[in-house]
Amino acid sequence: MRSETFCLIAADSTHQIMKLEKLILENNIKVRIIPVPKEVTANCGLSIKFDVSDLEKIKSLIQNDNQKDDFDFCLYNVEKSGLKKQITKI
Amino acid sequence: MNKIVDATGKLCPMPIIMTKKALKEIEKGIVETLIDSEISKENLEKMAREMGLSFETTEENGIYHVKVNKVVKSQEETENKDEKTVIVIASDKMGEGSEELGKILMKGFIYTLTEMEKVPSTILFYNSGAKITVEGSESVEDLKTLKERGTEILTCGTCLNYYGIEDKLAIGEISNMYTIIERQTDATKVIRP
Repeated sequence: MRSETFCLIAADSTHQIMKLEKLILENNIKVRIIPVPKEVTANCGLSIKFDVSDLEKIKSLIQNDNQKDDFDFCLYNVEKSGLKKQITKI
Repeated sequence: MNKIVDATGKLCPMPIIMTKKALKEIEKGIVETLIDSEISKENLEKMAREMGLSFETTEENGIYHVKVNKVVKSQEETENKDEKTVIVIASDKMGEGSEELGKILMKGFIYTLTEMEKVPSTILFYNSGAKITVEGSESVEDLKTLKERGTEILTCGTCLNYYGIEDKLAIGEISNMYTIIERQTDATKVIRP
């Protein structure tokens, strides 16, 4: 069975997610936009998926960004085994 | 009941025809086909996959032994097997409106397909949809996952040629208008995001 662990950022607006994706990609960190899993409650239908090892880098990127006040988001840890997902808030 | 089919020296598609015939003749059990060509071996495995049967291949002195296991299926399973959902991706964007959003939605659509319990039998890509199956596309990994789970990935060759990306195909096979029409007419359901 295929298993995978990754992190997710969910935000209040689609535009925020798209802006954040750009910011992260500009810093050469591999991320991708995926629909928010059903298990996560969020207003926005999009989220950013990234590798657990990039968590600290991404956190500090957001902290140091001068637009950080515009970002209102939640971080999640996703453990996927087959089609089942275990999602915890970070 | 088990059967052995010796298809060594036979050219494609004979090994497939012989194996299919042997499978038809038994109610359940294993049909072991002996073949000496790798292409025939791959085609045979593809056939088993399409029929939803498990198989095991071993090699001995240059001869492949493909054991296809025929099981008696419950009615529900048979019904599922006959269900052919075809997804038609005619653009690299989902819906009309913002181009940027359309591309994100299409990528999200393909990603979410991998999370579904039932995967489509075929996904057809044409016009700008063909850009999704080539190198550099973010969806290639998702499509690989779908392919592993049995989905057939077909991209319009005319379209790849038109966009000058014929040599960049990264997943699935090149297809033509005949197959594009056949897959849709044979489908029990056609979904066009």
